[in-house]
Amino acid sequence: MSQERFLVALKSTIDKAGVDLGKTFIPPLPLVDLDDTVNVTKFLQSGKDGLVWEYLTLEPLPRDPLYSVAFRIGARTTNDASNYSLLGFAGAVKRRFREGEDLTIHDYSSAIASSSVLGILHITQVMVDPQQFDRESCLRLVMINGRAIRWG
Amino acid sequence: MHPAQAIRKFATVPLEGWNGAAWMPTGVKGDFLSYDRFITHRTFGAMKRLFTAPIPLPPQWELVRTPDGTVFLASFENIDIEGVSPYGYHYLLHQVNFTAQVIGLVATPSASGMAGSTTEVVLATVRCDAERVTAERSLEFNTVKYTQVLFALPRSAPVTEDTEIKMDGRYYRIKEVFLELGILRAVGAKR
Repeated sequence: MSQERFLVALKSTIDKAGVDLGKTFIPPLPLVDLDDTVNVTKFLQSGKDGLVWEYLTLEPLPRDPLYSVAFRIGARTTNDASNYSLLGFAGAVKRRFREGEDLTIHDYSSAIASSSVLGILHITQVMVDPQQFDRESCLRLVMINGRAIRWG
Repeated sequence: MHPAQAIRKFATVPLEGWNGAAWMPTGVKGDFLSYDRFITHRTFGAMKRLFTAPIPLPPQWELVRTPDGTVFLASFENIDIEGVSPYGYHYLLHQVNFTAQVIGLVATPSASGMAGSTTEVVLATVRCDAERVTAERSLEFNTVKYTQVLFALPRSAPVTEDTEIKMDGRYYRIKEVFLELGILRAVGAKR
């Protein structure tokens, strides 16, 4: 796997983890990429709750195939008195991405997932960021730092 | 003389209506007011005209055409009433000179569960008017501006914030859709 494809594979792995987490809620929550200009406007203008995330950095550290990874993932709610739902979702995100946990990296970006393991993401730090507001809705994101190793 | 007589006297311009496939007679004749072009509200008098008729234009005719081939959207109806009896019907007509395609994006799902690559699908071909209203500065790059265009469309046009409008080979991503009087308005950003 090339370094370029590794960027995509890691993103699709986090996408998959977030989508699967969203399915565990009743009703299921969609996952929206905050950098997705096609869908994010529609989602933020809607009154729907959902999981949101953004891919921040993937940097060779000190050099390929070892990487430093940072991303933020959390939730957005509306009609949420006291923000209890929002913090409940943030708590679920923290349970899904725990410090010290390893995630195997696959390429889920095409219609059929690759079966081979393309790397490992090791989570080193999980922090709840300050809350953000947009009119009737709130966002609470969890900052996740980690180290990744690329295989192949 | 009752005003209804004057309305009937000057009702000489027949309107045809678009039924989705062909132009059909609406049975309504009326008159364009000559003073409307002096109402100086932006495009008033140029693109927006006032049409007076002695009988109502049935609401199914969203698009109407005059004998010279000019096409209008029926934007709003105002009625003159004496007692309980209507005797005059005034319409705000919005000229629509352009033909555009409403484009939908169909996403192929990926194994991650997120939307994958998208394919364009033509949802409808519609008559519309378009005018540039402003330019919006990029949130990231100060030197980049995006042209904002305000479309006037039939209410039945399948335009939402998930669609794009393709006109003269240019694409406009729809950012906002709202009703203005009786027609659909859409704000598009040229891309």
